[in-house]
Amino acid sequence: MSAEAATGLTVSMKRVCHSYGSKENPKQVLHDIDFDLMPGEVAILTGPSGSGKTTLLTLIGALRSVQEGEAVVLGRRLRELTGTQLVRLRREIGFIFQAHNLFESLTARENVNMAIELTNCDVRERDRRCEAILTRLGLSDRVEYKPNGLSGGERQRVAIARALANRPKLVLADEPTAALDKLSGREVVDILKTLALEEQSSVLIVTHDTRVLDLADRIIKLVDGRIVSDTSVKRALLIATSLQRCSIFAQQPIAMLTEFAAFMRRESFDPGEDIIREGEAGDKFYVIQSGSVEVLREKTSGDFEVAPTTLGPGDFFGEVALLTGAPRNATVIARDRVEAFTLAKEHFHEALQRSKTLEERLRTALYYRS
Amino acid sequence: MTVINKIPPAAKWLEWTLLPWRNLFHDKRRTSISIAAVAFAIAIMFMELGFLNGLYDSQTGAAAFLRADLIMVSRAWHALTSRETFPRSRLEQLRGVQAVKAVYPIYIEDKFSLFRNSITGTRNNIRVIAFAPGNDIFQDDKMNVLSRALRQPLTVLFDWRSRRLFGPIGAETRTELADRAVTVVGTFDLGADYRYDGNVLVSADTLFQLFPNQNRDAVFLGLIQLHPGYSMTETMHQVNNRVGSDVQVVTKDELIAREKAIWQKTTAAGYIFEMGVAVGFIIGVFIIYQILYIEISDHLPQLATLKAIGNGNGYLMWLVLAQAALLTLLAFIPAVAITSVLYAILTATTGVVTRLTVFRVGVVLILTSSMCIAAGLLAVRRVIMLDPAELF
Amino acid sequence: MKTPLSWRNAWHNKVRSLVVLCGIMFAILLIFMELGFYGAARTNAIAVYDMLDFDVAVVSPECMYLGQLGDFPRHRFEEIRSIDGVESLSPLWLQVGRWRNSDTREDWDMLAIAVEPSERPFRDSALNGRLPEIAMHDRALSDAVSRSEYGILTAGVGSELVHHRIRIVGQFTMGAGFVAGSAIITSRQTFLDVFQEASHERPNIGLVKIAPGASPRKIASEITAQMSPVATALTRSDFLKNEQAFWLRVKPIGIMFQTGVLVAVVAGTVVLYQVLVAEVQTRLREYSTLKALGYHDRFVYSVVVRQGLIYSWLAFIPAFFLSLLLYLLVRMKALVPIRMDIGRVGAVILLTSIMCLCATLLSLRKLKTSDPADLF
Repeated sequence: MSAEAATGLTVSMKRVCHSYGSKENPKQVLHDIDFDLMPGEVAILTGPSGSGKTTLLTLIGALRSVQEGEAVVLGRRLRELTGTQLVRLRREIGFIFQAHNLFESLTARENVNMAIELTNCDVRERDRRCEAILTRLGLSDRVEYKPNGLSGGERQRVAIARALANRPKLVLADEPTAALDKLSGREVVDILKTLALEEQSSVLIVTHDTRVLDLADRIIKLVDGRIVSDTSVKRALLIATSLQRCSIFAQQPIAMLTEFAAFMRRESFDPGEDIIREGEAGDKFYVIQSGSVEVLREKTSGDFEVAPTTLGPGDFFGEVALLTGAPRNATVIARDRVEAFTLAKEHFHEALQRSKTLEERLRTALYYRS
Repeated sequence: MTVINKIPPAAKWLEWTLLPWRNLFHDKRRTSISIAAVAFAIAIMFMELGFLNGLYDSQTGAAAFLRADLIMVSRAWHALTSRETFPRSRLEQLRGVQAVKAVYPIYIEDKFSLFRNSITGTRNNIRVIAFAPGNDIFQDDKMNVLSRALRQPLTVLFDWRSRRLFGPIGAETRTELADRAVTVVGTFDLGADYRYDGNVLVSADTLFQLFPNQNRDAVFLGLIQLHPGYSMTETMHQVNNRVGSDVQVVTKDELIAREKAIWQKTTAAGYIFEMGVAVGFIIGVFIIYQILYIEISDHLPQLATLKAIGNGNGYLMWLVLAQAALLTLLAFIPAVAITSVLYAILTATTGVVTRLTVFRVGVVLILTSSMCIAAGLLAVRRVIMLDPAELF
Repeated sequence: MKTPLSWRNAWHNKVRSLVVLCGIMFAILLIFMELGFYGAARTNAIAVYDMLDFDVAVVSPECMYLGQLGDFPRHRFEEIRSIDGVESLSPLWLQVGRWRNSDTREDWDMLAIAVEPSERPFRDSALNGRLPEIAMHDRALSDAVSRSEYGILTAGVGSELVHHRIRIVGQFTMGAGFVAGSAIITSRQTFLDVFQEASHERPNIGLVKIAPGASPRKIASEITAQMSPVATALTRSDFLKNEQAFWLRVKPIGIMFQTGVLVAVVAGTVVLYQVLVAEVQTRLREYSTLKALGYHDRFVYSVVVRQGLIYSWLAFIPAFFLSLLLYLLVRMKALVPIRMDIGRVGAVILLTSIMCLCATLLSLRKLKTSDPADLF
């Protein structure tokens, strides 16, 4: 416990698995989840429905018992906690449910108070905090209404207010913007970002809402209970913008590009280093972020001597071998320090399969190139 | 046109009969609790009814188990607990009447009739009913046969439903009645009531032997049995004109009704139990309404969904009423079971026979059904006003 | 002040809450009613004895209850004067006889109580003061609280008791009992004239007053020792208790009322149980949310318990007032002495609490899952 506390990770999960169903017929929904969350980080958990996102969220939120693996949340090992300790931990976590789960018989203000009252502050302080958070969420004129007098969006905002009222160090949100319009949705995520910034709280949001995607630092994709990708958004966007400069990728939507970006790695090359050699098997596709390279072809038979080509930031190479399966047809040498994003062959083909347009355009470009 | 109307007739019939059933049993635990609650509400009604009827049945039991078309009593007589007697000669006056088949005098002693408990030795007052054995004076023929054994002097038949004060009594028991040795030669089934703790049957001869205060001329009840085919009421009028003014002749049913009325109107117990029935019924009926109200309220979202997918108000109304009816009917069975057990316990502990008859079950059934329909109809209004959009 | 979640939950749907309250109120009303009747039977059983002033009662060993007293030899009774502590003796005769209603000419059972007019056997000194009025032959005091079937029983009215002419000279207040619907007090002489089989030498009850400070129990056992086997003595409290026990345990009335209480309590519990189960089911997500927010399990239970208590207590109050009304009605119409007393209120509070406790405990079973997420 102390080791993790020292590193200051809000959440640390290792090899966490989870199954539902009976002993004879278990259905495994999470496989070997390794996952960390830092203070101040805003991460998004995405993936197709049924992939286990909500399960993972409830595990982190101490709402479900961890069956297998190690889970440390806010410095505590979940599996070792007693009932009372679990209860205290839950008070430090702000959980925003998919269904708003408000108390139907209480007004908006009272709903939020139920959360604040857990901190044993006096009545005046409670009312002050309540007023503050509800105003922040634009509900100051709806505080006396019960849920059945509020619109869907307002209800969700009350639920969010309730979750954030105590400025928790960890916020878990399950589709918080589902019922909200564009403006409110953005507003909510902004609040979450501010909280992360001001309080150094970690925020993990499960969402399909692509509008929210651009506000996060990190995107984790869960498919069939496994984390298939975990990318820093900054990095992905960087790659995507670079890719955008390439003519073939230019028309792709950001979301698609970030998919590629998720698979791409950053590699550096020293000046004079061979990046690829002619005749080798082709297994990577390169996009240059910075620096320049020289593309050299071996003298072919005959008297033609093809002059070497120079490629710079935004250019790509290595696609031919990937497309045609033939060995590399040129050698590429770094002229100065080169930072490139590489995409492995299998991911490349996967990416191609996802977008026919991309393949066509690539082929067209190739055609014109040669 | 509702969606349902497009389904072929057979399936439609299934929808109309099976759906209420399935809805109700979807949540078994919840439904069982509701059924239990309704069952107890019905049991309350039965219980109060049982107290009241137990009173009336037991107080009129002594008359009911005798075989007679008409009964002669003193004009001053007004209850089976009164002590008014009339001269035997009045019964003799009936001999000439064509319709009359037989007359039998019945004597009763309840003041000096101390019956000894053979185990503890304590003596308690018991009602002694005396007659001439060998005649068919009981409704139950077995008793008529049994009563012949009373020809033997100082023999008694003991009512085994008498209160336990009298100790365990069986055939052959020897004990004392009015401080004289008697032998019990058999048992019969009548039942104690709110006045008498027990009953014994003796022959008239034994009675006069045991109780010097009794005499042949102080008849309590004169049983009059008619030949078949003669009208009771006509004969009654005929006979009343014939006999002296110090007696009256009434039909057996009339006597029983009068007895019941006395207990109903002039005793504390009667008033209390009547009030008990009124309050019990109000309570029972309201509780049923409450349960149905809650059940229907909580299932309104389901109904809203059905409405949203295109079912008409008529179908929804049917669902609500059918479910309310099912709930009540299903509750009726355990209610009757609980009541039977309760009645059995009451009968055994108090000696007062409390009976569940078809008529009484019917009365309660009608009442509960009415309440269920009322609850359903009140709820139906809400169903009609349901706005499916509220679901979202 | 913390948010009153239970209160809000209880009243969220006003119509439904009112319906629920009425249902529970009726169950509590039934309990009040049956217990009231039971209490009335208890009071009524000893109505006669309650009027009398004695510390020890002497009766025949055959005495079962007021309807079957038996008798004992007078001279043996007189002998106990010699026992230390015995201050005064008063023999009493009681018999049920036929009283004729002079208007309707119907006969009804009348309890006749015979006293010696020169003695002071009653606790009410005013009543004792009136006894000389009945010293004359065939005079009697009648019970003002008599059933209407007995006709008018005010002073001046004359009628027949067991065919013997009696004139009423005044009234006292006792209350109709289960043995007879009315009672009269006469002198011993008048009584013996009316009831020919009674004897001067064989009273039914012997009232004994003891010296202040003396132990009734001790004296009672001494009297029993001395008068055995023709009579036995009981302290006032034992005597009264026996009478009540007979009425309530042997006669069917007591058992009927007790059964009524039992069925009412069970019904009330089941009804409250159904209400709470419905509540818990409807609010399952909310309760899980409470746990998710970080409330202890016991807090969640307490929300439900408090809601049960709210329903029970809010139902209790109207039930109490309605019962008072009911009691009034019964007192007026049936002349049954049914009265509210602290003991009864306490008993019903206890029974209501038991009902509430059982219902809530049973309804909490669904909330016991350990993972809040399972309840979503």
